[in-house]
Amino acid sequence: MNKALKHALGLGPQYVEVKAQEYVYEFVRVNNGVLKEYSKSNSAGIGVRVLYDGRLGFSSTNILEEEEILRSVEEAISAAKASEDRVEMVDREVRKDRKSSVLKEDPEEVPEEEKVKVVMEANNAARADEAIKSSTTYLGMLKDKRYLITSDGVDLEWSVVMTGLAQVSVAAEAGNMERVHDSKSRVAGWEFIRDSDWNSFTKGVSDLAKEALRAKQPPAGKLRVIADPDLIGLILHEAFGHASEGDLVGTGNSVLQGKVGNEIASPQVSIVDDGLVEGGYYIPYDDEGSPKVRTVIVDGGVLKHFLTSRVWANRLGMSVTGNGRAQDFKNPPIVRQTNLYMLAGEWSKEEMIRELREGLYLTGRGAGGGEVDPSAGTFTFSVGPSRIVRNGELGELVKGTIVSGYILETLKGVEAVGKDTIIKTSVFGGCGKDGQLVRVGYGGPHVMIKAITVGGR
Amino acid sequence: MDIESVLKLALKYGASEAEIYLLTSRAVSLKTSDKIISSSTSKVASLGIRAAVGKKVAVVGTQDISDEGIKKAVEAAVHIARASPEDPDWKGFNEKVESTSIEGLWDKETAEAGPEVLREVVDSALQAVFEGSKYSRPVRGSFTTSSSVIEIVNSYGGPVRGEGTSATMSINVKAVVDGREGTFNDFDASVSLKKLRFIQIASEASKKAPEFAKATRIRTSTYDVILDTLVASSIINVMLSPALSALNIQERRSPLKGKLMSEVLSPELIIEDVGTDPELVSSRNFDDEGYPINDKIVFDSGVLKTYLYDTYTAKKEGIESTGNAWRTYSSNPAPSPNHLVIKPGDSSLNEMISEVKEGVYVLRTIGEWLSNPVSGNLNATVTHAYLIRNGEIQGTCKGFVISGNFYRVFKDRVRLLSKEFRHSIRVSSPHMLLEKIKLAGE
Repeated sequence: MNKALKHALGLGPQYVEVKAQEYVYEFVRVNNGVLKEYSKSNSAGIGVRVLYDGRLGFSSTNILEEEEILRSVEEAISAAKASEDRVEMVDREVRKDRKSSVLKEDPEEVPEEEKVKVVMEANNAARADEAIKSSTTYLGMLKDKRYLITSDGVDLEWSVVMTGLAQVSVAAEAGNMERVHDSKSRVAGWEFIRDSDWNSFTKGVSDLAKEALRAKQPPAGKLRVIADPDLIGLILHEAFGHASEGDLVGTGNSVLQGKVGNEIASPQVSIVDDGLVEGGYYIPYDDEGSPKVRTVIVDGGVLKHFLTSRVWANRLGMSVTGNGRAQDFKNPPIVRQTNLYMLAGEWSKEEMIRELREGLYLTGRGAGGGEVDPSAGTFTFSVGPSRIVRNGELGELVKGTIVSGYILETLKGVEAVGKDTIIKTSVFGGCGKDGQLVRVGYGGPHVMIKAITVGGR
Repeated sequence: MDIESVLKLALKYGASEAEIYLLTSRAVSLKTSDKIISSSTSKVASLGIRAAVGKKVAVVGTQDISDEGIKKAVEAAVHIARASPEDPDWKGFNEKVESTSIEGLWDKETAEAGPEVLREVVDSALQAVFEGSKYSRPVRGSFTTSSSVIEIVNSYGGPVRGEGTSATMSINVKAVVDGREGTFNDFDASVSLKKLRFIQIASEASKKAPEFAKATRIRTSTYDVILDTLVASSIINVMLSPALSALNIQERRSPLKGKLMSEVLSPELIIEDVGTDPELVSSRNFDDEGYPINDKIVFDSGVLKTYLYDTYTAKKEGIESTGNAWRTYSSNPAPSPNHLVIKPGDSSLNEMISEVKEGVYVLRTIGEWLSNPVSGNLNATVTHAYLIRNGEIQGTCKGFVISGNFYRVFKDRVRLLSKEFRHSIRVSSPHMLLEKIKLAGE
C-alpha cells in the first residue's frame, strides 16, 4: 500500500487514498434435510483513488503484483482525466486507529461439522408439519477487514464479523402455495449462533407460512395503518434514507433538495443515522477515513442535515458525516446510509391499535425489501403477512402484499410513534445503489400512519 | 493462470472429482449527473473450485490468486467437502464440457475502450438530453464497458474458454415545467459500444420527462392495461425465471411443479430460452459448468414444454442438462433462463391503444421484484403511465399499484401482443394489452 501511495504521489495528484480489503464469506444451505451448498469465498485486493487536477479517478485490482498495482495507480490518474467534474474535499479529522467489532468466537475457527449440524437441526424443526413442502435454511458468516492510508496522513484498520441464520418455508395445500422468509443476523461471532434458539425461530416461520396459506388478500386502496419496527425500518431506509443521501440531493435527485430547516414530517418524527448503534452494522469509519458520526437528519419533524462524503459536504455546505462508503476494494466510495432509524416516541403498541380502530397492522416479517424513486418521492415495499385491525383489536391474518406512497405525505401522516425501537441488520443482503451493495442497519418503533396505498384484492 | 494445474492440485489433495472456474474481467465505468462526475476502472480475477469427495461436495471461491491463495482455497474446498454430510442426489459434474460456436460475442473496440473513449459516448448522450427538450436535464447516469473471459475445466473435460464484451448505459432525466417536476429513466445494453443506442435513449428520455410533470392519480378500479416492453420483460423475469428453475421445482418452491405439458399461460404466449443470439448480452458459448449453450421453446402457445436444468438437477432426474447453469465464482451453479424471448404479435402499439376504452399504458414501474414467484402474487408500483380514454392518450398518471395473481392474469387476461419488440438484459418482450386488471390508486 505504501509503495502504491508513493508511486501515485510521484505522478502529481493533489491527494491519494489507497485501501486494501480482506473479505471472507461462508454460506451453508440445507433444503429439506439435505446439505445443498457449503461455500466459502475469500477476496483480497487494492483500490486507489486520486484527486488529480481537481478531478477524482479510481482504479482497482486483485492481482497483487507490484507491476500490476503500479499500473492500477496510473489507471486511476487516467480515470481522473476523463472526469469533467472539478471537486473539492472538505477536511476531516485525520486519525491513526485500529478498531474491531466485538467478537468472542471466530466463526472461521468453528469446525464445519458443527455449522452444518446447527443448520440441519433448524431445517428439520421447520418441516415437522406436513403442510410445509419446502424448508430451506441458510447460515451466513462474514469477516470484513479494511485498511486505508491517505496522502494527508490517515492510517486506519477496522474489521467486522457478522453471523446470521435465515429460513424460507413454503406451505402448500389444495393447489395454493405460500412462501414466508425471515432472518436474524448480528454483528457477533459464532457465540450468536450457538446461543440462539434457531429451532423455535425456523418453526415460527413455517407456522406463519401455513397460516398465511389460508389467509385472504388485504383490501386494496388507501388505508390507515400501523407499521411494526421491522417495517418502519424498511420504509425509512427506502422512502427517506435514500433521499437524504447528499449526492442525490446535490444532483437534483431528491425530493428533500432545498428543504433543510423546513418541517417535512410530523413533529413526532426524529430520524438519525448512526454507525455504532446496538443491533446495527458496525461502521466506525467510512471508506474515506472519516469517523462515522451520529447524524440527526430530522429533529421533531424538521429537516436538519443530509448524509455526506467529503465532496458532497463541500458542495452542500455541510459537515462531513462519514457516509462515504464503498462495497469493497473494487469500488470508489459513494454516499450511503449506515444504520438509519426513527427515534422512539411515547405510545405503546396496544394504545396505538386501540387508537387505530379500523385499518391494517403491517409487519415486516417475511417482507422482501423495497424500492424508491427518490427524485419523484415514490416508494414501494413488500410487507409480510399482516393483520386486520377491527374495533381497536387485532383481527385475522391477511397475506403479504406491497404498499406504496409518497415520502413526504407518509412522514407528515405519522400520527403516533411507539416507545419500542428495534434495530436490525443482515448478513444475507444489503442495500444496492450504483451497482454497489453495502451492509446497512434499519429500524424504529411501531408507527401509525394516516394513509398508505395497499395493493390487495 | 493454468486452471488444469489447479484441477490436478484438487485431485492430489483427495478430491474424487473437481471443477475449476476462472472469471477474469475488466470494466470501465463513468457515472454522471449533468456531467461526468466519477470515473473508475477495475481488473479482477475470480477463481472457483468445486470439489467432491464421493457424494460430499463443497465450493470455495477466491479472489486471492497468489500461488499461496490458490493452494489454500483448493485445500479448503477438499477439507470442507470431507467434513460435509453426503448429498444422496449427487451424481457428478458435467460430462459434456464443450463450447457452442457463436460469432460476435466479443468486440475488440469495446474490450479495449478506456475512460477517454467512453467519455465521448457519455458527452454525446448528455448533449442529447439537453437538446431533447428545453425543460429537461440529465440528473443521474451510468455508462460501463466490460470484457470478460470465462475458463472451465473439470475431471471429465475441458478446458473451455469463452470471451464476451458488453456496453451498458442508464440515464435519469428530470424536467421542470411551470414549477412542477417530471422524471424519466431508460437504459440500454449491447455486446458492443458501437451498437449501444445512447443518443436515441437519452433523447427520448428527455422528451418524455416533461410529460410526467403533470401526472395525475387514478381511482382504485379495474382497467385495461398496456404494459410497455420493459415492464412486461421485468414482470416475466421476476415471476417466471425462478419458477422455471428445475432446482425450485425439485425443492418444491415453484408453482410450475407438476404443470409440464399444461396450458399455464395464454395461448398468445410463445416463449423461447435463447443463449446463442449474439445480439443478446446474456449469450455465451457454454453455461457456467461448461455445458454447450442451446436454444429451446419453454412455453408453446401457453403450454409449458420444459423446465430449465443444470447438471445437478438434470442428473437427479436422469436426463440431459439444458445448459442453463448460472453461478458466481464462489457459489454452486443453479439453473436459470439464459434469455427469455417472448414472440411478438401482429398489432401495432397504436392499434392497441385504440382498442382501450378506459385504461392505462404503463411505461415504468418500481418494486415488481417484490412480487412472490412462489404464490404467484404479482405487485408493481407504477411510476409512469399514460391515461387512455376512448382509444386515445389523455395525459399522464402515476402512483398506483398493479396487483393480482400472475398466472390468472397471464393466462386469461392477455388480449394482444405488439409487433414492436425490445431486448432487455435477460428477457425480450413486445408490448402487452391485458384486460380487466385491478389497480389500487386513490
